[in-house]
Amino acid sequence: MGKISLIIKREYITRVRKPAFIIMTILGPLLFGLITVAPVLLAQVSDEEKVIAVSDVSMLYFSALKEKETEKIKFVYLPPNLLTQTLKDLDKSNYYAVLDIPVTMQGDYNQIKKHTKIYSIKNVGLGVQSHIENVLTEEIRSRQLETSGIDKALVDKTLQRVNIKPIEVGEDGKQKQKSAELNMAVGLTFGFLIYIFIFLYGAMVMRGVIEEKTSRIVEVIVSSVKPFQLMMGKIIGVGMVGLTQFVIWVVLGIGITIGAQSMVADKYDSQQVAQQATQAQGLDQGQIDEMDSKVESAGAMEQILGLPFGKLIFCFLFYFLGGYLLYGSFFAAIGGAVDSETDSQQFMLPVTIPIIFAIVMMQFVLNNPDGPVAFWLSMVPLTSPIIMMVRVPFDPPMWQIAVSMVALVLTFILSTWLAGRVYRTGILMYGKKASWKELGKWLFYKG
Amino acid sequence: MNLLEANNITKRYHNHTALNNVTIHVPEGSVYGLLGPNGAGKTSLIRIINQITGPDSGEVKFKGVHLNPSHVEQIGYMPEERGLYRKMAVGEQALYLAQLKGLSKQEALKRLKYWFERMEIMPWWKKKVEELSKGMAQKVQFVVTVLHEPPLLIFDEPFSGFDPVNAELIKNEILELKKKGSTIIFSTHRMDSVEEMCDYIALINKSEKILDGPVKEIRHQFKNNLYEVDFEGNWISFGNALWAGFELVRKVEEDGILKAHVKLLGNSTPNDLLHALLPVCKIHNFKELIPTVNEIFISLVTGQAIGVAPTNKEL
Repeated sequence: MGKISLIIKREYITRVRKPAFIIMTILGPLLFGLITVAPVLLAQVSDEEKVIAVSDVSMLYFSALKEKETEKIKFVYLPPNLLTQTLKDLDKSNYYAVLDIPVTMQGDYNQIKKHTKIYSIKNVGLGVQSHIENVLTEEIRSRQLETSGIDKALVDKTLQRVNIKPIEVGEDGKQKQKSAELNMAVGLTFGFLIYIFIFLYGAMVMRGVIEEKTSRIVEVIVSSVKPFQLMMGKIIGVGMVGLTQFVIWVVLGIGITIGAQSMVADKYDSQQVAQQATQAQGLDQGQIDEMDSKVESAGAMEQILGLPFGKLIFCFLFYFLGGYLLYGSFFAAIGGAVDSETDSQQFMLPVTIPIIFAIVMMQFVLNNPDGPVAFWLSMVPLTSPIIMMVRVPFDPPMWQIAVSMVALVLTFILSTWLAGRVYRTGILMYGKKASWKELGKWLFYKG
Repeated sequence: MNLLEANNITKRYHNHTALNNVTIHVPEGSVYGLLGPNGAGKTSLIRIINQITGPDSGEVKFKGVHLNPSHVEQIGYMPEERGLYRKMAVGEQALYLAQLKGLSKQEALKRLKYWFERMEIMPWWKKKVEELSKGMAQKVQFVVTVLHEPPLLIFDEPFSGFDPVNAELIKNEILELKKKGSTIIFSTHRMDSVEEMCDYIALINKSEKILDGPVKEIRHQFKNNLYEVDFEGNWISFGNALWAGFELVRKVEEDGILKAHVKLLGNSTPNDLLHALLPVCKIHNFKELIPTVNEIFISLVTGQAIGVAPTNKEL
């Protein structure tokens, strides 16, 4: 045990001291913070004032638009007789775009609905276009209501949306508000984190083994310790580097996100920030609406705090370590079998397929977190670290988690044992390209 | 007493036998040469002694005890395929390897200081290995091999890759360690260093031990009554003087001096030969030719008789 701890210490310290690690550790949360804040900041920076010339014979729609001007979108009136000339010289003018509202008969709104045009040199931003569309639609609607003699306020009142609050009832009869979106987000985040860590640190183990082989130090070391000790020392040491990085990321990430958001919150209230951030991340309007109404009705903080944090963190650490140990041993065996990273490709592929598969299936599992696919994929140890982590926020039965964990532990014990046998033969073979067949034979060599 | 005994060691890989029933006994305090062509099985045997791999059958005894993991700290091993972590600082790395061999940090530091000063590599303590010259790195490699002062030191092809100056340095250090009481096994396929360093040798060829014993005994065992005569005169009268009891094996001329290799046949003695030659030529030098280890080795491996291989100055 004394020697294996020496190895772990070396593997850990040499990596943690590397500039690459320090840079990644600092940059990681910065990037994370940036992702949450950047859309807001970008929106602020890129939006210069846009002046749009409106050609509208009736003046009605222009005044409606003028009324709904925003900080960034301004409207000026363009006499219709100047329209042709203005369009000709659009590139020399200061107008961002020219809006041409057609002449209509009283009460005929179809012309406007179909033939309103916007001219511009560059593409008109979606934000601008939808703003104009919304204003015009609203204007037409209220005009139609007015001419039909219907009270607009009454109609507005009828446009309602029903939001159902999902409440989970626990065995003790305790009620708990739940949010599928939040669970999804949490599951996805943890699943992806495990995926990234397995790849990042599994590959690090492999590179470490190859480095020892190519630098020819491995035989010096295995004359002092057993090859298995060297392999485990490396896997554990690198795993601790991963944990360290993760912990630092979490701490820094939370700090930076909170700091950045409170900075931005000077100009925007936090809800708006969240809204804009989600918007920038490509969620559709419906989802945002839904989330908004949730925030209003239920209190997002309450829901986040309602997550089973203890269970989540325990499961994350367990599946992170289990998955990493399982794949780490594969990567170590591959490193032992090859002479250079380029040679590792043929062995990498079958190892990466289950991980990629798990990532692909994540969406599917989210749609039905208690379905048979989700169940089996979270039991099979090659996919369970990712898939079970996706399921955990949805509170799967305890026995399933337990079975999945036991299976994972048994498998990584078996895989490290097998990997150890391939490894100890491989590291002493120089300049020989191993085949799958050969790896099979190595399993049966006598130590 | 034997420090190490490897008895009837057999090691097979799936399509070839690396060692077939090999036995070697290494006396304490000796320098033991493990000789053989590349691929003969030397490294396999050494790896078994180092417990890097295990034999399929046979046993290894260290100080009379069955080899076990605790013996790792009593053996120092410099493999043929050797190297260091390129990105790690020299001193830190040496300290790490010493600790892996069971030295405490303080003790390792103390000894490293001594050896680094002795090898004149102290200024490189904080440098990364990749910044060192090859010779410098080899010195570091040697130091970490011997640092824990093990009773048994094993060098696999110690001189391969060393420049001549460092090879000489390492050779002297090895002999120095022997004086201090270490037992040394080293394997080589280069014979020139063997005779001046080894007390005992074992020849391994094609996975089998074909010969072992003290170097002096082996050489005497393989001598075949061959004598070298340097003389002034001519070959005709020299040849005529030899009677049935002698055979002229080889004639060489070097700077006006004639050299003849003469084999004594039957019961002829060196005195008989001198007696026959004295009247016909002026003798400058007369000595018995004892085969070198190299000659014995080549003759055993190739099956040719010793001393018949032609030299380039042959007439």
